[in-house]
Amino acid sequence: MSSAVKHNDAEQAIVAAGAGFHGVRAEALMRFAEQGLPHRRMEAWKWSDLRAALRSLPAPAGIEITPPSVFAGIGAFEIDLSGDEASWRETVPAGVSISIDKQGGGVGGSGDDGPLEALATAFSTETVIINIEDGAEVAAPIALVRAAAGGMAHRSLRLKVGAAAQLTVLESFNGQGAYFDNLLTEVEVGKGATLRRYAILEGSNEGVDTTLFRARLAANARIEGAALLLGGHLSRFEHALAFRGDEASALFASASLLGEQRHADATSLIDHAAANCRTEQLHKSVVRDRARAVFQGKFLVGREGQKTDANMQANALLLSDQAEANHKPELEIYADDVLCAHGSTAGALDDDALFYMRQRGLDENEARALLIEAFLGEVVDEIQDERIQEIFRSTIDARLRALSRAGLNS
Amino acid sequence: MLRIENLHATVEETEILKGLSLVVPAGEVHAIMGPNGSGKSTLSHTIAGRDDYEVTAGGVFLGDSDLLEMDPNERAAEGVFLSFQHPMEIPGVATMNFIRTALNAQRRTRDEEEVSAAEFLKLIRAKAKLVGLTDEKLKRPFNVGFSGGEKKRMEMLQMAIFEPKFCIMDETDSGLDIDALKMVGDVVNALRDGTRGFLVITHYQRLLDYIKPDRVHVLADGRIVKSGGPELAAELENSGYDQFIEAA
Repeated sequence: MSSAVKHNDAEQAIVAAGAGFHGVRAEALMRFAEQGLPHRRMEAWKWSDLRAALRSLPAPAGIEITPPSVFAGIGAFEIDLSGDEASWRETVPAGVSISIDKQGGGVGGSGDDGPLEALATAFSTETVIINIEDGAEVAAPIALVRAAAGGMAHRSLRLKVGAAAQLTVLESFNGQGAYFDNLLTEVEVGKGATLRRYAILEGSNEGVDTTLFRARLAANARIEGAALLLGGHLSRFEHALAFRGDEASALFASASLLGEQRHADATSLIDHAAANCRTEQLHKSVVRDRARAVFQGKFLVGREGQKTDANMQANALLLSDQAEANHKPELEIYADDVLCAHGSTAGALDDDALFYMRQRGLDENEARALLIEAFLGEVVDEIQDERIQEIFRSTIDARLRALSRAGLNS
Repeated sequence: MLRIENLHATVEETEILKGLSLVVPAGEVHAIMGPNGSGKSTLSHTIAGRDDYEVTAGGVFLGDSDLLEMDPNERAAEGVFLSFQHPMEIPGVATMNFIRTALNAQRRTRDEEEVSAAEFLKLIRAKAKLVGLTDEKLKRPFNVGFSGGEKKRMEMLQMAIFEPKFCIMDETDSGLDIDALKMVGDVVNALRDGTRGFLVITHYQRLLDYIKPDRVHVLADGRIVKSGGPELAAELENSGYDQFIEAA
């Protein structure tokens, strides 16, 4: 073990927990031990100091509770990722096959993994492998349900969407109490396939969760989706796409809605390593009380990325003096014939609009809520499926009401 | 109906209203005319309850209700409606949803039954016809991309739907063509039922050709400096406000 990193209690406990590991899992644990937990002196984590947020490892939950997914009730095929073993009902939708790899090794395994990938590789007791047949148009969405109520959990998932297939994936996370929950998903989207991904993550004031999503897109493949992040003590949502074939495209809209002292970090990297690819990205942060929203969005356009058309917008709405939004849109371009743009704004609610709405009869809370919903509406409007759109809307509405009842400064 | 007693109000520590008194009896239309900077918009916003206008003395009453004790939304539910000089664009807020939410918020505050979606649709369609707004405009986000005239039509639409007890019209005529002025006159005249009161704030006389006022008041330097019958408006149009600015 390297002596370069002085481990805190959590890191020591993690390393101790893997004392009996062999093979790839032991190697992965070694890679973690060398790096330690991500911390603010690493550029990608400067606003989200996970090491500081996780000083000691939370105690395991006494009982296992999986609350219903926010996506329950729309006929999705659920895979419950909570607990040591994933579970799902027997009848798998046509065109879908699911298997479990218990050999260990997660989905990572390359020598240059970051600490979270290394942890997923070392500690995942199984890797859930989902395959979508070529050309399959899977009617029911697949819902990946996750919950945490204590302890530490690392999970690995591999998803392969066959050529010209169509799939919708719904992800929900629900955290209660203190926990450290880490999910690594690796995705291949085949030629001409479309993957839709909608995520709603709701942590707790004490919990730490990290969601890492890495997808490679073949020619003419498309990923579109939206994420609603309600934060946690520290919640990190990474969305990394690599265009590996020409004319692939992505549309992704995310929103962080944070109160109290919550923290949510939406970090994305879109690697345009093929020609004629298109990306539309939108992020909105709404922050009140002493919460903090982080958005780091990067477009990388290599020399192969000629005729890339990529646009990124990030807007923050700050509802209190102590709320914080750290937005960093970034372009790194090596091709000479591209159309790339980014924009970023930050501001408070419009007093004139608030007074106007109050004059019409809305009380202050109603008026504020309507303006906040309007601000987040742009993200919700990107969702094509009305049922999913409605779930996003009602989740935002419920969260705003809860924060408003909590009555902290806003 | 509306009673304003010795009202003093400051904006950013500058006194704008300096002892304004005015009574508008039920059923009457009163016009307030005055030069720029005389306090016309401060008066309308103070009655409606804008936070950044601080009342330092005096009172504003609607019937027996002390408006200064109420939040803006409570004043709205009590029946105070302000037609804004510069109506807001509110991106992302659907027009019909907003107006229905506002109507039902007022009704809830008054312990009245809420209006159903179907009833509301019927109501807004009928009133939209009256003010000349198409269905397509109602489907847009609130006032987004509307011309100045269309925004004023949207103000009149809400006034017609809410049927407030007391209407304050803050330079509703500015930027309107003749057809739109006539529409405003039609809306107001349809609402003149002998109990409802109106305060029509204007710079020019022309709106008063369509809305015949019972009384005309001249506002200069934060006070009412002259009151008279409808003929006063015509007189001002000829002689201008200079005499009052000097007098004040």
